[in-house]
Amino acid sequence: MASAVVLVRAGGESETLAASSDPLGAGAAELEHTLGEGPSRDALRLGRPVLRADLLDGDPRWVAYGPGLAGRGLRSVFAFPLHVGAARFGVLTMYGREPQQLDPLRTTRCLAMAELATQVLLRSTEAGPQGGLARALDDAMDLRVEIFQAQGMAMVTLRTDLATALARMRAHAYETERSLHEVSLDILAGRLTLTDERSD
Amino acid sequence: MISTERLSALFVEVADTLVDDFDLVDFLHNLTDHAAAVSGADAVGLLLADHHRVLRFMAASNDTGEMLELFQLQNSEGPCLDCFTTGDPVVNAELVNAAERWPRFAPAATAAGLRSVHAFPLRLREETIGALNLFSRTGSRFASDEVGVVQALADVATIAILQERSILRAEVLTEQLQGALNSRIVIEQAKGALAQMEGSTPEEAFDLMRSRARATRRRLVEVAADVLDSIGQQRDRP
Repeated sequence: MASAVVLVRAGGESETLAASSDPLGAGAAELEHTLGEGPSRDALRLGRPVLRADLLDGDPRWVAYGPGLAGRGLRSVFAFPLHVGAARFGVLTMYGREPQQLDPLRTTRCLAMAELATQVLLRSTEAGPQGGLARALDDAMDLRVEIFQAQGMAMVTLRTDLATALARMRAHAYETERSLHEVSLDILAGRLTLTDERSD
Repeated sequence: MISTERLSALFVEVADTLVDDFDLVDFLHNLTDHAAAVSGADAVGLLLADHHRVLRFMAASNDTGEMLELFQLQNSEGPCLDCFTTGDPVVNAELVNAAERWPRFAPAATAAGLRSVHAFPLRLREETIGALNLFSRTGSRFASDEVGVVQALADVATIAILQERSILRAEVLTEQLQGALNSRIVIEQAKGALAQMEGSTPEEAFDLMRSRARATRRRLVEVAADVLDSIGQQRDRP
């Protein structure tokens, strides 16, 4: 890839540039923002990757952005949303100078990078000492449905957003030395209710 | 065992859904319902693999189906996992005789009142991307021609995943699969939130969202996202 950019949602619907590998990528993100169309926006809106092997392949999406980016010497673009269900944090977008397909190995690598970036962003919403890359990697694989259901419940009882709800569940798991999954099962069974009283 | 009348109804609906506005998660839920009706199975579940080749729950015809799929995932054993690993169907497996093959899954499924199980791979060229499970309370057995029909249902699921004008684009599979997996998470989050609001179970919350989606002809994932949004708005209001 020629360039990579991470955009982070800064409240509301707008995304701001959080990291860019080089000026080319920053310029591409700027172009998308100016024109109001492009892969990063689509990836966030659709909640799925938006992968375009060749911007000049005749696909009618992005009438201005496609040729615009090609004019800057970038021909392929691959955008991966940074999200956990309805909790949306941003998007990781990679740009290539040549038309190119993502083979399965590179697809997996990009998805893994997006997953890691999501975990890091999720961590940044957390208060408390725990965190760190190793733990983020541990939890990245924990995708059990009970955790998401419990997250929804905790969001209501804590009167907070999904990301904070998950952070509180993790904090509780850490304090009680149990796994996130065990804590989730307790919440689902009504054995545990996280509340927004800050006495704990 | 296979109801041809219901099968025709299914293919008509499939043809309908594949043309216009289409949502993969809704479609796969409907497919599990149809697969249950067509085959006479008591529960049907569907798992899809993520980019780590880890299977994840995607759809089921009822609570029993979901519970049995989750049990397989949690215990890393069962017909769906075998089928996914080998790429071959598991047909006419009698749970009573399967304690050796699936030491945790077989007794649990038997205790839930089930007697037989079948699993069919979702195959795309040489790759297996998921599996369809059929569970029965009676010892249902498929004849060889019926096996072909149920495998066709699994193939319909694969076709649906790839549906989009440019089916030949390799990226479509990644886009669709990842989109569906995240939609599933949105739905689970909304199930929990709605259950907490309504004092119901997550399953009841799911049924409520599903009937809302049907009544308003909207996508399940949109209804789920609305549930989460409206809770957020109530919270942010002073």
